Amino acid sequence: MDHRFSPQQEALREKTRAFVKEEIPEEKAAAVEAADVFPHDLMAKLAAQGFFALNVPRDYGGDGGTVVEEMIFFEEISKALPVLAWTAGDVILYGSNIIKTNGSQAQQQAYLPRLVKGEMLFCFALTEPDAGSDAASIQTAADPVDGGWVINGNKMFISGASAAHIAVTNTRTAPSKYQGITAFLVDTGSPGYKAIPIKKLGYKGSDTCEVVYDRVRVAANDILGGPEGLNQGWPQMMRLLNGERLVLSACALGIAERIFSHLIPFVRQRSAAARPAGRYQDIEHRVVELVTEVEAARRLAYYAAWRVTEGKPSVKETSMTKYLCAETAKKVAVEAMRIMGNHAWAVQSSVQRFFRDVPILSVGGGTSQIQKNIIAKTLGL
Amino acid sequence: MSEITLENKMVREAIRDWVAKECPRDNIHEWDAADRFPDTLGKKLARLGFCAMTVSEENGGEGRNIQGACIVAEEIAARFLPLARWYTHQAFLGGLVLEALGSPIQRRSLAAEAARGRWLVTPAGIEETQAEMAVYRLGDPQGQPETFLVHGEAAFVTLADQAQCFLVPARAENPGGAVTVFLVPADRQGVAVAAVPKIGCRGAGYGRVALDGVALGADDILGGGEARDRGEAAWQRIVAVCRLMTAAEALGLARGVFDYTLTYARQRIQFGQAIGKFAALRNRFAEMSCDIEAAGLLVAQAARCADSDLAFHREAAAARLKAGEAALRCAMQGLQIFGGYGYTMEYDVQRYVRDAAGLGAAADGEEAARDHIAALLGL
Ligand SMILES: Cc1cc2nc3c(=O)[nH]c(=O)nc-3n(C[C@H](O)[C@H](O)[C@H](O)COP(=O)(O)OP(=O)(O)OC[C@H]3O[C@@H](n4cnc5c(N)ncnc54)[C@H](O)[C@@H]3O)c2cc1C
Repeated sequence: MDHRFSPQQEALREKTRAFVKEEIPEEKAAAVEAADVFPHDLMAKLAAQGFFALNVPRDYGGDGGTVVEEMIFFEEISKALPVLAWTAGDVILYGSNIIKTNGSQAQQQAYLPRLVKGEMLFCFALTEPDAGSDAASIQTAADPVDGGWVINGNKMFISGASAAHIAVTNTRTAPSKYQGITAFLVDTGSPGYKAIPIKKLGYKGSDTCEVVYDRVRVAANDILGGPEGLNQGWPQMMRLLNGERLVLSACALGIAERIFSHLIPFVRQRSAAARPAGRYQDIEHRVVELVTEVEAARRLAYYAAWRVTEGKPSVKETSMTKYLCAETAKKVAVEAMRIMGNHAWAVQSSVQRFFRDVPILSVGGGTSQIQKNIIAKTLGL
Repeated sequence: MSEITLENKMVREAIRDWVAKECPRDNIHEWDAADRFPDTLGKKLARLGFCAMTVSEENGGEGRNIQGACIVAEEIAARFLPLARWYTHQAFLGGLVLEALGSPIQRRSLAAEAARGRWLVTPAGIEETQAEMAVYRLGDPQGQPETFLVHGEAAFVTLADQAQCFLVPARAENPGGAVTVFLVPADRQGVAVAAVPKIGCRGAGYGRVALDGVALGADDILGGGEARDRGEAAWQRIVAVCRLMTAAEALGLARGVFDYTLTYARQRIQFGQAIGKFAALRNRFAEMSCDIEAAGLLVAQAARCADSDLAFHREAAAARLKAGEAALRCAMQGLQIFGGYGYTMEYDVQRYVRDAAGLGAAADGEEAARDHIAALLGL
C-alpha cells in the first residue's frame, strides 16, 4: 500500500494554497456569501491559472490528473470559500469528468479543450422534486421527435443551472427503472429551458436552481456518449459516483480544517486565561477528539482515492469516506458553535459561515443514510 | 409530569392557539429576514396576562405560576424563539427576579411594570469571566445622596436594543471587592449599545453594552441600598433564572423542530414509502421524542422547585444542559431528515438550526452549567 502524494501533487496543493491566500482573503469570502451570486470573477482567475486543466487528459490540453488531484484542489479551496469548490465543480466534475468518462469522441473534442480554458460551464441535472434519494425514479421525459428529442419535466436543486452553458440532463426514455434513463447535453440557451435560483442556508453563490424543461429540443447527437448512449444514463452515472463521493469528502475535510484554525486559537486563549488553571481540560479533550476524527477520516479518504486510481474495487471505501467525512465535518462545526458560543454565532464570524455550509455535504451526492445502505450491501447485509 | 395542573393544561392550549394565530410561519420568514418582529406581539401577550404569571397579586401580577410561565415560553419557542426570549426577559428577569430580589419599592413598581409587559430586563455581564466583570466606585464623596459610578462592558447582551434596564453585576473597585447588582436604566447617560448581528434568534438582537462611568444611586441597586456588596447570591439566583428560562426556550425549540420534521417525514415519499418509516429515521424520531420528554421533566422539576420557593439552582442547570442538547440535536437531525429541502430558506428547519446554534452560549453557557453541577458534587 502506497498512497503518498507525488511531488506534482504536493506542488498542486502549494499552488492552490497560494491562490487561496492571494485571491480569497476572509473579506472576499464573506462578500461572495453576502452577495449570493455565482463567483464568475474567481472562476476566471482559476481558469487563468490553469486549474481547470487538472483532470483533463493530456491529449486535450489537460494535466492528466486523477481523483487525487481533484481532491487536493477541492480540499484547499474549501478551506477558504467552499462554494468556489462547487462552482469549479461545474467545470471539473460536471464538465470534464462527465465528458472524459462518458462523452463520445466528438463530444470530448468539442468540449474538453474549452473546459480547460474555462470557457464553458456545465451542470448536472438528476434530482427532481419527487426523486431525490430515489434518483432512478425520475420522470422528466425525453420523447423522440423528427430524428431528435423533446424534453419535458422539472428538475430540483441543480447547482449552476442558470450560469451553465450545458445542462447534463437525465431523462426517462424507457420504462425500466435503471435501464431507461438517458443523459442529454442540453444547451441552456434552448427555448423552453428555465432555471430559477433557490435561496438556501449556505453554499451561497452556488446557483442551485429549480429547472423547468418545457418542450426543449435536443439532437440525437446530444445524447451523452452519442446515440449509443441511449438508456445508458444510469450506468454512466455509476462510473462517476466514486469520484463524486471523494471530492465532496475533500470539501468536508477542508471545511473541518478551516474551522480548527479558528477553534484552536480560541480555546488556547481561553485556556490560558482560565481560573482555576486546567478548567479547560475537558474542552481541550473535545477538540482533540475532533482533530483525531478528522485525521482518521482524511486518511480513509486518500486511501479510498488510491484504491480508485489503482483500479481496485472501491465502492465500499468511497461510500465510507463520504459519510464519515460529511458527518465528522458537521460534528466539528456543531462543536465549534457550542464551544465558541456567541463568538461563532455572530454574523462577523467565519465559523458560522462554515457551519451553514457543511450540513449539505451529508445530503448532496447521496445522503449519509444512502451511503450506509450501500456499505451495508457491500457487507452482505 | 403527572403533576401538571389543569390550569397549566389550559395555559398550554391558550398559548398554543395564540401562537398559531399570531405567528404564522410566512410572517416569521419576514421577521427573521428583517431581524425584527412587530412590537404589537409583546403587547398582545401582556394584555392576555401571560407576563403577569411570574408575579404575585400583591405586586401587581396574577399570582406566581412559574411552571405555567415556562410552558408559555416553551410554546412560543416551539414556533418562534425570539419572541419567547422577549417574553422570558419580561416575565422572568423583569417580573420574577425583581419580585424575588428587589427592595419593597422595586417589587411594587418594577415587577408590576414587568407584569404588564412594560419592563424588559436583560442581564449584562453574564457572559463575562470574573476578571472582566464591571466595577463600581463611589462618586463624589461629599455628594448627597450617595452615588456610584459603574464602568464595564458586556459583549453579547440579549435584547440590548429593546431592554428598559440592564442587570449589571459590578465589583467594588478595591482588590477582592464584593459584588453589587445594579439595575442600570438603558437611557441613563454613559450607557452605549452597539448592535451585534447574529445568524439566529433574529429579532431578539444582541448588543455590546458599554458602561462608561454611569452614575447610579442606592435606588438603582437590586434590593436597594442594603444589598450593596451583597450581590453574589443574588447574581447566582439570576443565573439560575436565566438557566431555567433558557431550558424552557430550548425545550420548546426541540419540540417545535421535532413536530415540524415529523410532519414532513410522514408526507415525504421515497422508494415508495414515507421516509419516516425507514428504520434509520424512525429510530431517530423515537430517540428524539425521549430526549424531549426527559428535558421536559427536568424543566418541570426546576419550575416546581421555583414555584415552591425552594432553591432551584442545580435543577435549572440540569434542565438547561439537557434541554439545550436536545434542541441542538433535534434541529440537526431535522435538517438531515429534510434532505435537500431542509437546506432551502423556504422551509423552517434551517431557522431552527440557526436558532439552536446559539443555545450553547445562552445563559452563561453549557460549560458553566456543568461546572455548577460538578461543584455541587464536591468536585
Ligand atoms: C445545495 C444543493 C445542491 C444540490 N446540487 C445538485 C445538483 O447539482 N444536481 C442534482 O441532480 N442534485 C443536486 N442536489 C440534490 C441532492 O442530491 C438531493 O438533495 C439528495 O440526493 C437527497 O434527496 P432529497 O433532497 O430529495 O432528500 P430525500 O431523498 O427526500 O431524503 C430525505 C431523508 O430521507 C432519508 N432517506 C431517503 N431514502 C432513504 C432510505 N432508503 N433509507 C434511509 N433513509 C432514507 C435521507 O437520508 C434523508 O435524510 C442538490 C441539493 C442541494 C440541497
